[in-house]
Amino acid sequence: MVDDFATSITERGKSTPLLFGPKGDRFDLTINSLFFRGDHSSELSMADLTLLTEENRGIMVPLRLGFSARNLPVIGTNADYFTTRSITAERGTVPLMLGEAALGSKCAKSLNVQIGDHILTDQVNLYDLSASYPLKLKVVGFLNQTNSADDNAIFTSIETAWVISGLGHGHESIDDETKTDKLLSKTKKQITANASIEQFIEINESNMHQFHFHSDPALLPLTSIIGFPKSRKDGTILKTKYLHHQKIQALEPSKVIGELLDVVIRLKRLFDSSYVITALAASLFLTAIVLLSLQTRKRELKTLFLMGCSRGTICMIFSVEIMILCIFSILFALLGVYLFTFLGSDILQLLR
Amino acid sequence: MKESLIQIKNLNFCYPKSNFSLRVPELTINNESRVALIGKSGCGKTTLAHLIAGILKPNEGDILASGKNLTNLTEGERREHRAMNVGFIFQEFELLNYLKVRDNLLLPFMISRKMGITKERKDHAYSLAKSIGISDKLNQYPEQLSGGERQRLAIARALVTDPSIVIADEPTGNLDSETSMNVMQEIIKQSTETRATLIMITHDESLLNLFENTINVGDLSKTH
Repeated sequence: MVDDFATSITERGKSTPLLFGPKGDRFDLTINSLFFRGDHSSELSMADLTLLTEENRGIMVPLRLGFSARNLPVIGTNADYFTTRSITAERGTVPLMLGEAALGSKCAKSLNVQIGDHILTDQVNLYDLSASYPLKLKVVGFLNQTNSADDNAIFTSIETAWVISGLGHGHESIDDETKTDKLLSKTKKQITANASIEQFIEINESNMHQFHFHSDPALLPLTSIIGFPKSRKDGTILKTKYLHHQKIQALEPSKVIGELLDVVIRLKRLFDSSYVITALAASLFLTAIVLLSLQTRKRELKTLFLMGCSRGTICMIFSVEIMILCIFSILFALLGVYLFTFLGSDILQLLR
Repeated sequence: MKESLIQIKNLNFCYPKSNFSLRVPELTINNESRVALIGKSGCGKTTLAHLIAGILKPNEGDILASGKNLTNLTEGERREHRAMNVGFIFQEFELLNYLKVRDNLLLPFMISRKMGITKERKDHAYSLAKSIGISDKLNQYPEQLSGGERQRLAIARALVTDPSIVIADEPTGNLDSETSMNVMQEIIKQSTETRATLIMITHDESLLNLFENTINVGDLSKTH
């Protein structure tokens, strides 16, 4: 189980040469960006992507994470992600337009949707009514199986991810003809609508042009940037450049995963060695129980002996009792191991 | 004149790694008689009872009981002799609390390899339980019985196999004099009905008039 897990995440690490993200825990950043798990930050911006791209040392793929649809992670990225990870659309296309989504192979099966169907994103903050509304994503493609975290993800364009986060939105047009009850203020230069203005929760061809972003495009946030350098040299230069950067850290995910696996394997060894100790302790405990039982039932055994019961019969009675005790202990132990294995496997499966 | 049931000749017994030894040159206990074994603590009362029951094997001499010379029997044969011919009543009754009254009563049959439990034996056990007044308690556990009922169950268990010898090891040791007398009368009544020879170890001199013979084990030829 641990070996399968190790192989799976090592492969993922090897296929991701460089990872740029905000300074902080390198394990968190790697797990977030490669396996789409855990809390995500948005401290990088499009400006950082532009700077990295302008270095012209490879392909830089932006990631915007932190959203979900039917509890499956929604990944905002661009077309380069699919090219660099050798992901193709088995049916349909990869998401290119605003509001489109392509499903990883396992997602497609679990959600039971067809191309052209819609899936609704989960509310970002259920208790904040002023937060962005869930967005209806149009399924445009099913991706091929990669045996990685990509199989369990829903992919959209990076712009769609910003719309989901509430940074971009679309609504009915506001102009001189807009009713006054929908306006907050109106001057010659500017018209400001109030909350009653209808916001679109679906992006389609008819309303796509009405979606827009109010913030500076360079400041639109990213979670991380995956770097595919042209050469090893380019990779080393890029990494060195960000070695002492104030805000950004550059990681080699394969090394981070190696460290992580080292911890996991050490833990596994610890568990393995604890089996022997546990077995020894269990044997001693069983022996203690048997001896204690013999001690407390000494009078009963003497009575049986005086009444004519053979030592063999007395031994047999005790042996059967111990056997029953052992059988139940083994059954409980097997049940425990089965449950642990089942749940343990499930947890590791989630991390992939 | 009653026929002799137990005959002891030139008995010599000592425990391994102990200075204690018991010598009995000659002793006869008649069939269906009631005998009290008395004497100071450590004089060998229980040892003599255990020798008669076949629990211990003498170093020298012969013990003839129920027509068998116990000295010549193997341990297995003595055990079977004990299971079939000897009933025990213990001071603390020693009932098995995890078995129902019914199973406690049938325990001697379960123990004996030769006897086993048959319908006739069950019926006999239940009629004994009825005569002793615990037939309505058969499905209960000993802990649910009163002290008196537990005593009667212990007596019934000792007599259920119709043993020729009943050995009672101070069954009234922890009881007041009135209760002791009641218990003794019950034991004597039941053992008389089943025509068993009663050998009782006791320190209570007030009970001695209930017995036909009193043997002071300390007066037998004993050396320390």
